[in-house]
Amino acid sequence: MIRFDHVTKQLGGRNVLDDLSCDINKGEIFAIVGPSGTGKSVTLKHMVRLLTPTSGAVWVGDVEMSAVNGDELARARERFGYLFQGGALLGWMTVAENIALPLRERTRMTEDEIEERVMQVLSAVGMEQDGDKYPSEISGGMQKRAGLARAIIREPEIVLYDEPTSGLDPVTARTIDQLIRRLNEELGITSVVVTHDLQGALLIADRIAMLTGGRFVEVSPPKTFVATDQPDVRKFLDAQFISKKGLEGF
Amino acid sequence: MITREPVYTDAPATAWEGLWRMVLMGLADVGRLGVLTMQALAGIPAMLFSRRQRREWVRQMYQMGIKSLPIISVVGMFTGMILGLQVGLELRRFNQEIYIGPAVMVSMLREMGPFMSALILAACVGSSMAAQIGTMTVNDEIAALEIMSIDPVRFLMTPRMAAMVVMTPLLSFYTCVLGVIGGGIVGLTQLNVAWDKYMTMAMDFARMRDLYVGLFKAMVFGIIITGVSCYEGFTTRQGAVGVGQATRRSVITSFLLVLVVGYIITRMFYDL
Amino acid sequence: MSLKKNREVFSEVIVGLFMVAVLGLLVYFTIIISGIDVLGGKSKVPVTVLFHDVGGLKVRDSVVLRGMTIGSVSELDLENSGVRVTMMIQGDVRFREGYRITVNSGSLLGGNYLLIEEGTGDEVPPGTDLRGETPTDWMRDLGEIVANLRDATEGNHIKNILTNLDAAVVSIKVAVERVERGEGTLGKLFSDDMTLYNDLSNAVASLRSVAVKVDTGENSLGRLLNDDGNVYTNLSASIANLKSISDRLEKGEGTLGRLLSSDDTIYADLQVAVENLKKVSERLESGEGSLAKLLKDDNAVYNDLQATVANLKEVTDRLVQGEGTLGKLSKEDELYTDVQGLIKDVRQTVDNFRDTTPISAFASLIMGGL
Repeated sequence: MIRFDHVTKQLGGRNVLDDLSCDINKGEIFAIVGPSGTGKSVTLKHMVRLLTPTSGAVWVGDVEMSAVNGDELARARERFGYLFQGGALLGWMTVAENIALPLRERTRMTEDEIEERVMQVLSAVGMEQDGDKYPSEISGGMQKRAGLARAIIREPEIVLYDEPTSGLDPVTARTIDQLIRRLNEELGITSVVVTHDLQGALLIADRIAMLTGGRFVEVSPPKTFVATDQPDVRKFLDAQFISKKGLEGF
Repeated sequence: MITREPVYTDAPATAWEGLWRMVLMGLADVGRLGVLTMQALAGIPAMLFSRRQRREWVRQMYQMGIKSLPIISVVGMFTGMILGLQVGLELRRFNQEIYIGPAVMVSMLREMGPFMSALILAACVGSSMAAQIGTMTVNDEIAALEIMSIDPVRFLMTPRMAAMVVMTPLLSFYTCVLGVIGGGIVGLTQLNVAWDKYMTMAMDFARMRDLYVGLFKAMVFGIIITGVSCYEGFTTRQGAVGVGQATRRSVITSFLLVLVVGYIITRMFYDL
Repeated sequence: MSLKKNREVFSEVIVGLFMVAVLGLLVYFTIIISGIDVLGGKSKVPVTVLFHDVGGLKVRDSVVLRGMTIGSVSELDLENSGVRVTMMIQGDVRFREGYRITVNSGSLLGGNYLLIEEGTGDEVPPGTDLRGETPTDWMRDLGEIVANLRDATEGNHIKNILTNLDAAVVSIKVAVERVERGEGTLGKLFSDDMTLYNDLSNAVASLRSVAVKVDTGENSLGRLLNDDGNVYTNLSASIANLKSISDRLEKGEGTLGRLLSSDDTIYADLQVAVENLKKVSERLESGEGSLAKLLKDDNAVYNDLQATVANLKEVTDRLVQGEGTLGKLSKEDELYTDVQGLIKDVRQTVDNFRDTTPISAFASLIMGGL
């Protein structure tokens, strides 16, 4: 579904991504983990062409995402839902209006249809009561959930999650994780989750990729991932008190 | 694309290359400002056909125009009063105080009306525009719009541009009216110029051409302020600090451009 | 990533370059360059005019042609002999011979403008230096007058002037009074008496008719001067007689001769008289001169003259023969008495020279007859 083909990205005079290659399969939850500042978000942004590779190519399906422009890019981007770290809701609109925005701007649906659809996704993220509130009136976790609702309202093939659980209390974080899992199962959405919350990743991901030094040093399912002997991964796992047995100890 | 990554990601090899890049990037910034402004202006007709966009346009006009009225009123009134007083003090030496009417009228219509309202709008509306869009930029809201395939220029900038194109001339005219009234008050209370005499003289000397050129100038100022402010907002980097810088730069750049362009327009329309 | 790969940014650099260039050009044309009508498109051309004095003209003052502002003064350069004024004016102004370029003042408070009158003659070839007229700075003239007045009113000048003025007034008064009284030539002219005028006008009229008539031989003189043998013969004879007499006189012969020779003044007077006579005759001959009213249309005078000349001939004949008397010539008693007294004296003289020459008889004739 998404393929990185020897992608190198230079930022600030250093290679943030260095000859990165990988394939993300349709329908899977692909988690990218790693320490802060290693280029996890950069990787994600390449998928929707918020960044363009210095060299190499990014393919989404049969579209070379790193080469398209204009309307083609707009159409390619419509296959994506993107949840930003802060939710990226527009401050002067209510939550419901924010969620309805992609439909209103990019589709010809009637207001009734839009309203119905908005209620649907609001209930999906558990925010049926908060549609009329403004983003500044709700908590960070709710903003993220509202952002998620907006990301999925057009039923995208792929949803990209940029740190969906960072800055949230563990309970809310687990709620979000459950939500991602459910969306993936119910709608068959391909999900890419960038996180430094390894526990969440281990819980929901089909595959986990460890990004260090501009490339994936380990790409494997959770069980294999925790058992690996790759030193960078090991160090990262140890820092979060995760043994080779995974999360079973908790 | 509005969301940008830096063009040069490697450090320049030599100082000269660094300088050359600065020149190129400076030109690119100017060009981007121009392209953005043109895109925003080009989006206005399409905006008028969209009900939601029209609503946003009206909302922006209310935000920019009506909410600026109090400050504009005070500024316009006192500008006229200062003009009337200063000119009157000079004219008093020739016993020609009656001519403050034409003096205030003509200078307000031609120059002070558009200029003062442009300065107020650059300071109030332009800075808030830059701050708002800058905050949206650092909060990834612009990027979110782009990923939703919503053109930020069309979605954010065009209604603001349209609102300014309409409101700046109106506010400029409003400033002129209040300025003339202010000059009349000073004339009445300080210089012993009868109100009806003052108004008759002022209206006698008012030329439609002065009004048109003044309004045209105000419209250009509105375009400049919106273009600069939105450009600064869209190019904001580095979080809250970046928003502050963008706001400051937008006000400074707007002021400078308003001054320079104002002079050029005046020179173009009033031949020596 | 290099710039060329990034087409979007590359195009923006081009747009930026274009915008900066346009802004730069606008700034250049509107701030640095003057005299360019940015919107109108009419470009203006420099024209230089030499002035001796520009009378306070300043750069940027308007240039006016037929009441329309067509440009402005762009430069003023001081030169050896004057001021070179460069003005930027519309290119379609043609200067022709007889053009005038003057500095006019717009108002009392100052503010001058250049007034151009194109002229009507042949076109002045472009490129030639035009000449401007020195303005009459009436403000400055007024100032000078005021200064002079002040000069005059201060110090002794005014006293002098007043004294002179006083004297002049007195003189004028006297003169006017005289005129009033009809004194002097001017006075007479001014007086009510028209005689002088009438005389003068009559004389002039007569003179003209005389001249005409002399020419056509109509009147006495005309006939005298034209062919009339009679008078001529008589005159010639009498002149011949006169000549012989004068010859004798010249030789100092006879009583008169003696008298004359001993009295230079009378002789000189006579000579002058003869000379005058000659002049008069010459003038008569050429038709010039004023012979007054003596010459009239009728031939009375001619006839008189003829008779007189005839008589004169007789007289002279008789004189030559020593006959006749001169007493009849005058009827006035006084003269007669005087002449009689004179005759006694002359007789004594004549007695002394009785037997000598006919001139003595002529002398007797002159002195009253024998």
